[in-house]
Amino acid sequence: MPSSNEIHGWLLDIYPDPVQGVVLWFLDEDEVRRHRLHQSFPTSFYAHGTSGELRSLWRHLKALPEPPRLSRVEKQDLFVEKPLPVLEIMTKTPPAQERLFNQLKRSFPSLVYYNADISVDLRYAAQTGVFPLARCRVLTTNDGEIENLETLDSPWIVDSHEPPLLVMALVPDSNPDHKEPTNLKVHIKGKHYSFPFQDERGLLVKLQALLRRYDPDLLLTVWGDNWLIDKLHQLMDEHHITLSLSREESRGVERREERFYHSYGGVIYRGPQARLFGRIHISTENTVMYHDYGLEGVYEMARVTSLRIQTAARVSPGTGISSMQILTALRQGVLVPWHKQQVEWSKSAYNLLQSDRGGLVYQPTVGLHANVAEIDFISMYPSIMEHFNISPETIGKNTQNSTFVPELELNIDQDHRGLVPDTLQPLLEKRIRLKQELAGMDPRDVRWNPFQARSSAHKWLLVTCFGYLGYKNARFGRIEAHEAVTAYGREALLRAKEAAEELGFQVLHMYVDGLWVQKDGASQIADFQPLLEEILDRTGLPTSLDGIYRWIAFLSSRPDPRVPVANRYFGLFQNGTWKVRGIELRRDDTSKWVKKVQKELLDLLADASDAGELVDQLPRVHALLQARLSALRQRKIPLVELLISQKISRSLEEYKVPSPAARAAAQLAAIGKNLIPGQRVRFLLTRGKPGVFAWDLEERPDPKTIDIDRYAELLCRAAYTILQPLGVEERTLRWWMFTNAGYGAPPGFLPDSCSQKTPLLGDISWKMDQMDPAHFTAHR
Amino acid sequence: MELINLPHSPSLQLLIAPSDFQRKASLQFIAELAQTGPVRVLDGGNRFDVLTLNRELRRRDLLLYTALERIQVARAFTCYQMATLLEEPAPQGIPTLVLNLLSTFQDENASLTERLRLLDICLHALVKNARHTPVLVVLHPQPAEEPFLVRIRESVDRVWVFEPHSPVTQLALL
Amino acid sequence: MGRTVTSITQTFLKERAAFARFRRALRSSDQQVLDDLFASAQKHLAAASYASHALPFETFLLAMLLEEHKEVVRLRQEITELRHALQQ
Repeated sequence: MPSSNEIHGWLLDIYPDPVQGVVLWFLDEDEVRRHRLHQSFPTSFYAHGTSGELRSLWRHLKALPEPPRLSRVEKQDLFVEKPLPVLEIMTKTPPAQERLFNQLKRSFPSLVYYNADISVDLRYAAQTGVFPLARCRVLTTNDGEIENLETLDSPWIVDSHEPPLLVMALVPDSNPDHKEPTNLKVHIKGKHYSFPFQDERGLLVKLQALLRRYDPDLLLTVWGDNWLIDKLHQLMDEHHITLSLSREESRGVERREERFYHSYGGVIYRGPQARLFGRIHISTENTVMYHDYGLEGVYEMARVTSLRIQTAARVSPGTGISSMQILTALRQGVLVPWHKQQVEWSKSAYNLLQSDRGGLVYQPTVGLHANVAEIDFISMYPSIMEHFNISPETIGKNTQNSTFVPELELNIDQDHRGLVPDTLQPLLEKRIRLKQELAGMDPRDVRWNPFQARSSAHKWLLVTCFGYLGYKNARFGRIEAHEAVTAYGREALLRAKEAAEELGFQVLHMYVDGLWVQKDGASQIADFQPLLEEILDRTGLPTSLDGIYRWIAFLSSRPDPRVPVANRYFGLFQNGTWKVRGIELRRDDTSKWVKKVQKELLDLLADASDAGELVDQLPRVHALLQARLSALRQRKIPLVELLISQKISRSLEEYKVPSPAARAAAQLAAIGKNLIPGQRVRFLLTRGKPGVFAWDLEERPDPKTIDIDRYAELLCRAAYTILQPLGVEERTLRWWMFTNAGYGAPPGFLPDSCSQKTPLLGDISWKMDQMDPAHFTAHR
Repeated sequence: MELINLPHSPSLQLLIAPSDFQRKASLQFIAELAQTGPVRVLDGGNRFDVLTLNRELRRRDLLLYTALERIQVARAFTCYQMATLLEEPAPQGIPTLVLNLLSTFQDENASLTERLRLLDICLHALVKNARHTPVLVVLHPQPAEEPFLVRIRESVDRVWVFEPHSPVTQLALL
Repeated sequence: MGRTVTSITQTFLKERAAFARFRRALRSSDQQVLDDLFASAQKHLAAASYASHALPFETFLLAMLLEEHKEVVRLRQEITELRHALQQ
């Protein structure tokens, strides 16, 4: 067809078509028109085997009713020196390739297949450099066939401008797992509608009218994947009305069933999925990390991985990283294996001992410390992979310019850029640039939220790529590479410690990629800058000052106060923000009420201008605790704030002594709501047996049955976590909370390792030593 | 617990025993062999307990690090990897221990047909290796009809099955 | 991804458990002291992990000795200070 049309716009969606090859939807730069374009896309995959096996395969393929194009070629396998002779099998369209491969893997299971299970979005991206939401210039024929596509954009631009997508939100008014929704709320372009489910026909007609009128690019639903889309289909069938959910209406909705799959001895549940054609469907509860980074984060995932937006929203970061590696391989003409082939090399038992370790995790110097700087390596493991060229195919290769990993007695080839570092490099650079921009940005800047979201998406990808390097099923992974990364990580952390100590700092704590340091007289950023430079010098890896704490408390183990715990601390930065790890406030199984009060305690402590004045806050702490306890005893706390949420770890029959969560799950099972191991159950603590009341039962418990004493005990524990580093003894706290003792009791003793001497209140002698602390519990 | 006196001549043998026993017995076997020469360990269960092994070596008064260097370990985390690992020709005369051959075969992400196919490849390789070196395969107890176990039993020269002692009655202390 | 070798924490707990019979036969006041020794070793698990010693218990013993000596140094210092104070 003659006459080329030129279109400028952003890529919205891409999917395979059984006849046309590949279909692409563009949003025109005039922000009004959307274009459906197509392109023929012959798709190849490869097979390798003995000449006998390949000959049988050839014969089989030639005899098919629609034989694919066959040729003998040589292609590069990442782990093999010389190019590999393979049979190239080219089918007319991507769906044809998938079908053919499914047949062949059953009839010829012993062959090694390459490029066999790669989705069309990645294949197309490899050929053209395009990615979702990329700005493009496309030349097409009159019937929308693409003649030429030029990408005018890059996923690595920090300040990209998103195309203006039109979003329609569909929100049922209750969680279908708990209560059947009565209304469907629809939001579009600032308008809000509410359609009752009772008027089924009306709902369909009105929703269809909105879809037709606005033609949204994105349908953002809640419970769409696992309930709403199904419900709408049910209504469509009953009333014979079709909704134009997909823009390409003839394709309908692509349903993927729920799946259980096995991973690391456990079972992982993947819910059903509903994908549309030409329109994007994102179901928020099924979108990994949605609550962390929202739509902006999803767009960024799609941009940097080149996965179709609907896929990027639903896959784990591991799949994201794997897709990026596959894309790099495709672009370099490297074969992408279907199954992981690589096996660990033999190592002596001695080497196993040395190499099979993770990051260094220290035990901190327990107690309260002032003016402490937290220095972190920026994306340590990915930086190491990039800096030292660690890749499954570079490790173990002794070439002219290889470096030696001392602990492992392995070489790393420096002559050729590894696939994994190659893939990571632009992502790391973008992350660092983004962090730098954010460091200098006002939170009220309109770019703040999108930048934070993008940063979050990068973080998840980077955090996963290290694990992926050693993952048993990773196509491009090798456990030795993984071990080399941790070896360099340990070395880097130790060199950082040495640098700190030589510059006169005390190292209070170290954790894999971060250290906490302190020096008399050092309290400003400028005081720590020389250390950052020294660390960069000695390790080659960049660090950043996460912040300077006005004071920080490292906590000990609850059962044994002599033993420090690596990941339990709370600290107040100089800028007034908190960093809190491992305490009740951060735990999933703590009730909202306890979290609230613990946070209030921290807020009181934040009022102290420095560590020396913390003890001055204790009278207010005492008053606060008494007030909150009083409200609890007067039953003024809403039940929902007392909910405890815990996971059940096994199936109910496997419990010898059922935990509270198991008992609550049993209550739910009795009314037909069965939970599987790994799921959470919410419950309240009640007096007597069974001691729990599951929340998702049909009724609510009588507020009078709530076990006030147990909640008071939980609060006491949470309060002790905060007050213990300040020198408050447990029995003193119990006196404050559970007796009519006034504040005047002496606080107690500080642990020896505390570098901040907080003045004690003064010695008031009491008959304390004669009183048995066991008498002072929550029970009255 | 007595050490099982496993023959040191070329053969393919199977030991079926519950966790603790097989762990102790296999580590003792490895320690024994490391006294006189190299040993190869293929670990399919990711539970090769180096540290307990070290105590066994120390007990035999061996130069610890020398002995550790004699023991070559390779791990497989998937059944594909196990097959690839076994297909590598075993160095002549170096005794091989295969720990938890079936752990990686529990992975239901691969179809049963596929896993049986891979198991056949593994067994074929093991039989080949056993012609010039002693090979011991160690397994957890499995139900007798388990298709994997049936095939393994068919391929080996000899099977050892651990019988737990019947409980000894404790004499009451008055 | 690997992690075949037992973690240092697990190793420590096993080693400590291996001395349960020894502990049991001690007087209760001595039991407290033994517990203190193990708690000292627990402060240096990271270094023990990094050492990757073939026989980790030897590293734990060294850690216990380290903490003991720290205490000795501290006590010496305290005595010196007290002597000075008395002489005033």
